Amino acid sequence: MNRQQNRKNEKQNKLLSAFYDYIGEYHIDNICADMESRKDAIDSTEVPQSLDAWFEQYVRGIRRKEFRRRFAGKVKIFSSRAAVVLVVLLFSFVTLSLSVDAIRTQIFNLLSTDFQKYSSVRIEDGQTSNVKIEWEYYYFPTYVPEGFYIETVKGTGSVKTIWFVNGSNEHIVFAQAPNGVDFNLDIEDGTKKEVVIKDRKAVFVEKDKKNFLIWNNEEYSFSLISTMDEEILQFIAESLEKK
Amino acid sequence: MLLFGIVIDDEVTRNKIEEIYRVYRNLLFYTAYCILKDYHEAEDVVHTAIIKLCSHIDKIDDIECNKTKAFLVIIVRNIAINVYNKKRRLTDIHMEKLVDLNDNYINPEEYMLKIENAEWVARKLAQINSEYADILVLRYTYQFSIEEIAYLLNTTEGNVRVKLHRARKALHDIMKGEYYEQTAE
Repeated sequence: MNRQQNRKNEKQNKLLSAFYDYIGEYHIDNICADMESRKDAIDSTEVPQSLDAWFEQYVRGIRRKEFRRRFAGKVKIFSSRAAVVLVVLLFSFVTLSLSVDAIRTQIFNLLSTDFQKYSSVRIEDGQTSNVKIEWEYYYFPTYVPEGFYIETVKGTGSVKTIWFVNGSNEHIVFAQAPNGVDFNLDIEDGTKKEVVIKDRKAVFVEKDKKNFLIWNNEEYSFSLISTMDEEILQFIAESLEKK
Repeated sequence: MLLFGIVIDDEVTRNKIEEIYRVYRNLLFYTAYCILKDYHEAEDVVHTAIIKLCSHIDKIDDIECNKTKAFLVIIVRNIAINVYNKKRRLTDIHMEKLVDLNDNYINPEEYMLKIENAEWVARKLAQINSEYADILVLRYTYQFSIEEIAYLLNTTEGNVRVKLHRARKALHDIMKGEYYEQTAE
């Protein structure tokens, strides 16, 4: 019974709403007719200039506000899309690194190599030493490990030798001679290994806790002797410049 | 490209407001001034009406139709009446017990029999109190919620409810033939 009464009320409400809407439409027509009858008075009304000025300012304010809001919205959408792309790229990169052995090794090498020691050892000629090199034509390494400076230079015949030393009395001996001149290096019974310096074959020898690196270019042969690591010697060798 | 899109979107909204102001600025000011008889107060009322209107600009499709025109008049008129009442220290409508008009008060089917007199009924209701007719139109013809009407007319939801109740009651009285010769406030 109650449900039936509710349904009846619902139907009556719909009917009433439609009726109110209908009356409302006539009210709108009446307002418009009323305003139409006052058209002359309305058209001759002087609207204050201050109202126009206020409106212009208000519209400018809306434009700025809307512009900021929409710009922020679009930036938000753009940044979320960019984030998705980045995540996809990162995911692909991780998958590739984990699945391809060669890439994994390269990344490992990249991460495990300490570039700091190479980048921090640049020295200028005579920066840490009073020794002057008076040869006219020679090769000189632009990189030596931090703390090393020229201790001595010596020219014997065609062989030119530069001794570098650091505060811990560690030495690096760099020798150079035109191709065809013999180097006397005691590397017998040492462990030999072939390496590459500037796209040319070179020999690295380890003997009695000393490391030797021997290589040449089109005109000169070179040798480095030190207790420093192979990598450091290779890096010094790669940095040679003609003076 | 991003900036270009924003400018286009913004211009559509801005142009609509500017167009409404260009077409109806005289009407808006005239309506407010007729009630308040004060340039500054009328100007303030138009400011308020435009600000309120901007938040419902999406509900206006055709700028130069009668429905838009009447809507603007209703908004400005009612805000102006509120200002007028406040100025004269008239308190808002006191809350009263809202009688359920649907509860055997009058049979709605009877309304349909008198529907050919709708124009006269609308005019009579506006004569009794234009605010009643206005609020009825906002609720049932423009389909605004009580909350939206309160915002548009710069009044409280309670006030809107009471006026709506009174409007319906006045309409019932008219339909029953009990209309009274009362001029609008």
